[in-house]
Amino acid sequence: MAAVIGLAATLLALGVAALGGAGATALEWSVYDRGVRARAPAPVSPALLVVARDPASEARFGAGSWDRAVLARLITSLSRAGAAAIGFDVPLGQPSAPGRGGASSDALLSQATALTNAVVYPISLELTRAAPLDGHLAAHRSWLPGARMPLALPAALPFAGPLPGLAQHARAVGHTLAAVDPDGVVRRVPVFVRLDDAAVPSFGLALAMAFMDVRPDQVVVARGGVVIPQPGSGLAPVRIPLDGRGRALVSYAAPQRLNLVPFLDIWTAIDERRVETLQRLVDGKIVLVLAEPARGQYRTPVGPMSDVLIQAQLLNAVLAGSWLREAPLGWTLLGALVVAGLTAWLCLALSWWKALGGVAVLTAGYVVALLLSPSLIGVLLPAVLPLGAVVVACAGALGWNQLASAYRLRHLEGEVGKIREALVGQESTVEALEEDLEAARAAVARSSGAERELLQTAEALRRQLGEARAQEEQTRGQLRDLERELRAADTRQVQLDDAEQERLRRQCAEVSIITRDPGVLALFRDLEKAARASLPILILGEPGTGKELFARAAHRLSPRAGGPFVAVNMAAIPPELFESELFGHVKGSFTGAVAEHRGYFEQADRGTIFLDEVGELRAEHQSKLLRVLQDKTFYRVGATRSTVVDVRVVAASNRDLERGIAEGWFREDLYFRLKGLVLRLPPLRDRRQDVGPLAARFLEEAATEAARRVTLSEAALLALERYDWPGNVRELQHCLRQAVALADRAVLAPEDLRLAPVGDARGDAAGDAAVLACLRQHGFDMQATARALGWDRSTVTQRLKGLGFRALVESGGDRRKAALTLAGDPALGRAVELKLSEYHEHLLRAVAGFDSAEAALAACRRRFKNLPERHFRSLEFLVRQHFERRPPSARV
Amino acid sequence: MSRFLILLAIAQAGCVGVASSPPTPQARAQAYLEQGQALIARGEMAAAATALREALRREPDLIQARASLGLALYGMGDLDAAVDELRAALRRQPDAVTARLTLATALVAKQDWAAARIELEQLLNERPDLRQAHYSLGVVRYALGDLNGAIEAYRGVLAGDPQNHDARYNLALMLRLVQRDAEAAPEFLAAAQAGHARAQYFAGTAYAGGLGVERDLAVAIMWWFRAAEQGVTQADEALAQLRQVALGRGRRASADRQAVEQAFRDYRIALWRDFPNLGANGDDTLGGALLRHGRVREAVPVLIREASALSEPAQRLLETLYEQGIEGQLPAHDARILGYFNRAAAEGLRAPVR
Repeated sequence: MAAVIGLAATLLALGVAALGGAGATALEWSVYDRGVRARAPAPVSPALLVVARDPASEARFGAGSWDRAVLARLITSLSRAGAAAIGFDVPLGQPSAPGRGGASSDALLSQATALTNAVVYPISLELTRAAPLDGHLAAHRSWLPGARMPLALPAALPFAGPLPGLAQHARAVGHTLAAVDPDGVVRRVPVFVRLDDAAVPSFGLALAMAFMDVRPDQVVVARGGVVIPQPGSGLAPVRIPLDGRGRALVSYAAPQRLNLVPFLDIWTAIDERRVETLQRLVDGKIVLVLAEPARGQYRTPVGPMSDVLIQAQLLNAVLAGSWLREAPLGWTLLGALVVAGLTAWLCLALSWWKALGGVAVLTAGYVVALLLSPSLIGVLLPAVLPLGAVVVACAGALGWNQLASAYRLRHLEGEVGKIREALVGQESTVEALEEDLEAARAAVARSSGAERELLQTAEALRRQLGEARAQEEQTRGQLRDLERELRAADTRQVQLDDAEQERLRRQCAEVSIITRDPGVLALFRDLEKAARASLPILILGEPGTGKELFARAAHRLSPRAGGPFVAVNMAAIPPELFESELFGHVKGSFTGAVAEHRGYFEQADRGTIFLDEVGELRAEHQSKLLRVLQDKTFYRVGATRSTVVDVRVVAASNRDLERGIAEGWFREDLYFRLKGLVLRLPPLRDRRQDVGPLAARFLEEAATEAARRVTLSEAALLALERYDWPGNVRELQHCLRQAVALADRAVLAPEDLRLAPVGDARGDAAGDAAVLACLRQHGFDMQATARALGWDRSTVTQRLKGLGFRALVESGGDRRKAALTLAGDPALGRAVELKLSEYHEHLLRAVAGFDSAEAALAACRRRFKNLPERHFRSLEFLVRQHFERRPPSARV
Repeated sequence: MSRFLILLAIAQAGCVGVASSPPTPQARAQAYLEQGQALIARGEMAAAATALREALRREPDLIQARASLGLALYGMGDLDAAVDELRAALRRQPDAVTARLTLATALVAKQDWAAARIELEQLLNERPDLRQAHYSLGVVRYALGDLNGAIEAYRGVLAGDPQNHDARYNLALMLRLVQRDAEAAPEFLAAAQAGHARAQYFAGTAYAGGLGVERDLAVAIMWWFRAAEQGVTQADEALAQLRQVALGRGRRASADRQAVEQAFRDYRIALWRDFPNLGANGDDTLGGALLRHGRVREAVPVLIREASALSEPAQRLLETLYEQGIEGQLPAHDARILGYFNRAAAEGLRAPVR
């Protein structure tokens, strides 16, 4: 995956770099530009003398182009003083204006050029002009045949050439084109351009060749560079590295460091015939005369510069041998691929902060290499592509992590749902098998004749039961694991460092949440972030896990802290008063509405409303609540105008709302409206490290209340930590209050805590109504109900079975109706219906082999012996009804 | 330039002279026009422009007044306004030759070469005999880089006026610049013979380099001396350079040095040909001979020329003349001789005279 992300990031970065225009180019070259400006002085060749036009010479010869007779005299004098080559920035092809000497001066210049045979002129070429003007220039003797060029040269067009005499007398003619990068800066010069069949050298190179007395046919051009031999001098050949388009990267020297002489100084020496001075200045050197007024200036890394001065820089680089090489595209792509792949691997394999650290180290390492490579190996490494690929790969890998964890979360949720459904079926199977076993045992006791056969049957049943139990237990274990995993995934497996944990602990303490559990702290951190927005928050968790504390914290940490916090227990609101309580009513809207009443939502305007036990809402109330959450408006009971409120909603439930959606008792749209941020608070048994601090706090509170000093013994604390705390924190608090109230000792022993084994602590809530209420409270989860009541699970099952049979009788055999009656809440209807159907089917299977109702009932007495007698009447009714309805042919 | 303006003004006045008598309401306009043209002829351009504007205020269709106003504005240097007025006049009377010539001249002054070329070519279609237009077209075509066109234009001038040495010199330059040296050399020589200073320099260059003529350094020296005496510094430089070679100070080979020495000698001998009645006398100088014949006024420049051509006797004679003079004919410390000594000293030939 890291390789794929690395490749994709490289390609993306390549695209961005290619389409990035000026910005990307400027970024790419920023290292080079800074290097050029800040580098230790670039070597300056003593063989190059630049004679530059200055204000004093302009005062003497005028501001525009000068009379070329002046230049002709300069050429003659420089040549006599021993200049080895003379470069002039007078562009070929532009005749002198009549006011500036006209043809006469041009002829003088042409003549001086012819006499000295050392002058090199620039030629005006265009790379972009569509069509050349007339006066096409014939190929010059200083140009190379284009066929000798193994390079893809930029093609150029001449746009004027009316002074062929001047061109032909010139020692060499070179172009002054510069390669302008997209950011408008010139860093490279095309060493040759193609003009028809000839390769025109750059002005700087032409001057160098004239200086070294090298003929064009002696120059060796190969892909990657130009080699200029220095015959007769004993010096090594000059090598100029080129890129794929025949361009050389100019190693700029600061312009003021070039050997510059003002034009007027030279002119005065000529005028005063100071031959020795002139010789000392120019003898054996290349003299580059910049006599033309400043034309267009290019931007370069060392400041604005004319095209001819850029050529002077190229010439200086040729003479001083200072070159840089760009990394080839293949290397660049490979480098980018490696760093991007490495980045992606770091981000995928390590936790986010370690990954970011690794990426930072990788990036810093590359930047160091980028800075050092020009001076160490003379190669300019690319910046934008590898660094861009690092950024894209980092973002891509982190994004991939997020996607993968979200997918895993969804997958786990789906798995949990499926397993829950399977569990209902397995529970029923176990129960049915238990009953069958029981019936078989009874049969064994009664009939010794069939003992052997029955023993075998019993044995088979026992085995089946054992398997079914094991299967159920395995499923439960699987469910527990998945739920734990889900919780962990939901908190995004956040790993907090110590400092962060400490900070969060302090923050928690401020809002009365006492915890050391990293999972809870991570939840709190999420809450802290989400609190700043108006995002709705849904808090899930068993009773007593601190849902309201988290809701209050959400309020206190939000910008609404100054507004009201209204907590509403949805389960405690009588159904008929739901609207009035939540939305308020106007006076006289119904009997008893003697005054105006502001509902909870209105009370919570500009603050937070905490909807506790939101899972207990009836279906019709769910839709009303949904409308308020969607529109932020509602009608008071009896009102004709809507009321608008600005309320932040925090909801909580101890029921599994997702299971509610699956089973149909909770609206999916309401769930999604509530779950901006979902916090699943773990039960106290899953964070035993919190028991100690919590106990200490509660003990202190209770002791203060009782005006005594009480502490816990080590054993008591251990007992507390070992206990399962089905009632969570609230149970712990009550337990300690009770212990402080009842114990006389200052140091509480385990027995003072009165921690009974689970189940015994509950009184026998024998009444059907109480059992039903408890079943409803636990969403008809047998295990949970049994734990809450302190009963064996089969006892609860028998009770529910009895209640179910009664409800079936009362509903005339309509399972759905019976299930709804039992469930009390349509939301639970489906789950109860499943169970009820299973019980009923089992009953019908149990009586299927009998030919009379009496015989079947006798068998049922034995089989359903644990069914309370009051419910057996319902069973009897159902059995009789079954036999009455059975067609006679079906009877045995 | 002013001479050109006055000629144009007179030409325009001539055009006015043949106009028929205007009716009375236009009489004043006509009077202002005549006054304006008279002022142009005197060179009072601002006053002329005022008078001509008065004429146009009264008679806006008076083409001569508008053309003259254009000329006056051109004379004042207001080129844009001049071009506008002249174009306006030509729109009403496209065959107004003088106005078009003035317009072309104003466009040349504006360096609007392309527009000037169009006007001049149109003018020459109508009046191929206008030499001034041919000359201007030569300048304009050169400025546009059309050297062959310029050659044709200068030939046009010479066809009507073979004595126009400026045109001949320019023709020679064009030919030189397009490398047609064989055609250029005779033209340079013709202009040089006529006394054109720069042509003399280029004639010398042609002989020195063998460009279109047989190489002859002595003739080259002769032309360069003539050009230098007319103030062409390049000729002076060329001679100075030759002297350096002859004195062995350059980096030339000794053969070159001998050739140059011989050339100077030949030149000095050739000087005698201008004075056929003076017999050449061995190693004597022409200047010395002239002195002996009492022709002191002619002798001094000849001696300077001979000394510049590296004649030791002439040099010594000049020193004596400078120190002592000639009773009644040449005072001591002659300025011309001093000037020569200073130039020679700057060249390093002799120590400066104290």
